[in-house]
Amino acid sequence: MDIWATIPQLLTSGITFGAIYALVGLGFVTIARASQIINFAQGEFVMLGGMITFFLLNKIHLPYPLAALLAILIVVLIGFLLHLLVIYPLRKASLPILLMATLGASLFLSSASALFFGTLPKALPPFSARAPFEIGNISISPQSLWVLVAAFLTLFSLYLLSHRLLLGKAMEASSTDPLGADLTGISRNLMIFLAFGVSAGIGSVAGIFITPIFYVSYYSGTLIGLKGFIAAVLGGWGKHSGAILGGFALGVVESLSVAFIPSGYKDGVAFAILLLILYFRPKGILGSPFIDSRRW
Amino acid sequence: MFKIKKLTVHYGPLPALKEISLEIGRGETVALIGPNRAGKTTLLLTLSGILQTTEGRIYFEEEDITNLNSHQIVSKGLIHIPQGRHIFPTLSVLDNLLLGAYTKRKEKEGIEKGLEGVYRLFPKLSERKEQRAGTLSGGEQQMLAIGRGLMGRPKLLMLDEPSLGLAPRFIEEIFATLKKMNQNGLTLFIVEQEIHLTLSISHRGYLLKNGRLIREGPASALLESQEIKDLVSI
Ligand SMILES: Nc1ncnc2c1ncn2[C@@H]1O[C@H](COP(=O)(O)OP(=O)(O)OP(=O)(O)O)[C@@H](O)[C@H]1O
Ligand SMILES: [Mg+2]
Repeated sequence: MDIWATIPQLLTSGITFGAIYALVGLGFVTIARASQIINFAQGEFVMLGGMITFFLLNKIHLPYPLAALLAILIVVLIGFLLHLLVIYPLRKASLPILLMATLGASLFLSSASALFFGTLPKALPPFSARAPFEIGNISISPQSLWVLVAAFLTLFSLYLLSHRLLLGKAMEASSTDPLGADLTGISRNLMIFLAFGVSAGIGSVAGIFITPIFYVSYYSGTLIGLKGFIAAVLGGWGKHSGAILGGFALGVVESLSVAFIPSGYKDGVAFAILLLILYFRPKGILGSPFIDSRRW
Repeated sequence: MFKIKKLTVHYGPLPALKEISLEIGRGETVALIGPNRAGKTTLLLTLSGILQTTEGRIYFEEEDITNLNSHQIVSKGLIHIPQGRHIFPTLSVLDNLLLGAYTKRKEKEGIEKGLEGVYRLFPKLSERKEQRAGTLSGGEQQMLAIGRGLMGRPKLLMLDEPSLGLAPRFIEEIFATLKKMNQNGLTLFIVEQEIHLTLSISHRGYLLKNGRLIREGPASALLESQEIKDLVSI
């Protein structure tokens, strides 16, 4: 088959993947804007969002929207607990220790999920039952459009939080100059606590929107988390627009790569991109005010 | 209005401040002079609740504020402008100022008035209010740091080496402004190595060395003292 003929379809699925990575990336950005922490348990929020919704829908038999809403609340609570039980007690520790702690939390959450929900992969029903849209020979599933909508609504809300509300600015201040924040009376612990909640919320939304497309299983958080991280780094660390751009760029490149290299290497493409960007332009495509202004 | 009694502070096992006692009266400008590593920054960080005391008490307006956390201290009106400025580089000048009033964020009118006051003292900040703070020059950043401190409506403003790294022209401008602020009734505690300029706008001064206060007195007397002469000659 002519590879060029498959490109439009790959591009469309790349955009769907891109929206997913963007959404997950926004979770990283939220925490990065409030502290210098990289939360490696971010993917677990995504996994738990899908997993808990599945449980509430199929085991407790709640209506779909209610199950989703409740799952988001539960994951936000888990985000808060992660801060209270792991991050806050380590607030005086150095950054590498905090990173390891989030890695540990990630392992804990995925194992707990396996114990609690079982190890079988699960899928959620699509939000709307209609058949895929056919445009020429491209087919677009309605769920892909839902994912796009979710990504942009999340971006919009985060934009309001960060650039319109004093709270968002206080969060950013806590990250860019901790001492300055302390001396203006901003409670940094509270800011980071809130950021973990918001970020867990975003992760769970991502999980709920994508589980109708992919299966969710107890270990699926790791890979999706890493992809979201790469999206956030690629676009420009700490920037919302960066996570969105990075997400789409990553999704599209990854998808298109399938036309040229065996699809088994698809995930490798993402890591190759990460290495290249860290090597040649660590600030990311859009540049990161958080990287050039910070004393690392 | 402000009183420290026998304050001792350690970094781990090492003492950085030993039995510091000092007093600041309402409306005064008090200078703290000392060579590098004397412990000046350590003292201010302790007073604003960043570092913990080992021993001793701190009183602000008759109230014991020892070991309160920093946002409690800020909201009482004891405000610290740190060495190195520590403005928020990614935010605009205006946002930096608004965050200065973070503990009083509900008081919209006070904030408006505060902004007007800061812009009157530093017209340059008004011209650049939409600009990212990280792109300001060193002198402008120092003005912003002071402006941000003023937005918290201080009763006592503590400044840690406001002249550090600035061109002489800026230093004079900043000290002239400090003098004006004090004439408007603000109590100032200035930590400096610019000895003459600082003592020239201060009522009284203390001399800190190796974590101990070794001299205190009226500014004019300190200027004549042997210790200060030794410091200047180094
Ligand atoms: N975080 C820290 N941990 C351990 N020791 C410290 C720390 N910060 C400062 N010190 C030590 O405490 C002493 C006092 O330092 P401090 O910064 O308070 O001095 P300073 O008078 O402000 O000096 P400078 O004029 O250079 O700003 C110094 O010997 C310094 O090495
Ligand atoms: Mg100092």
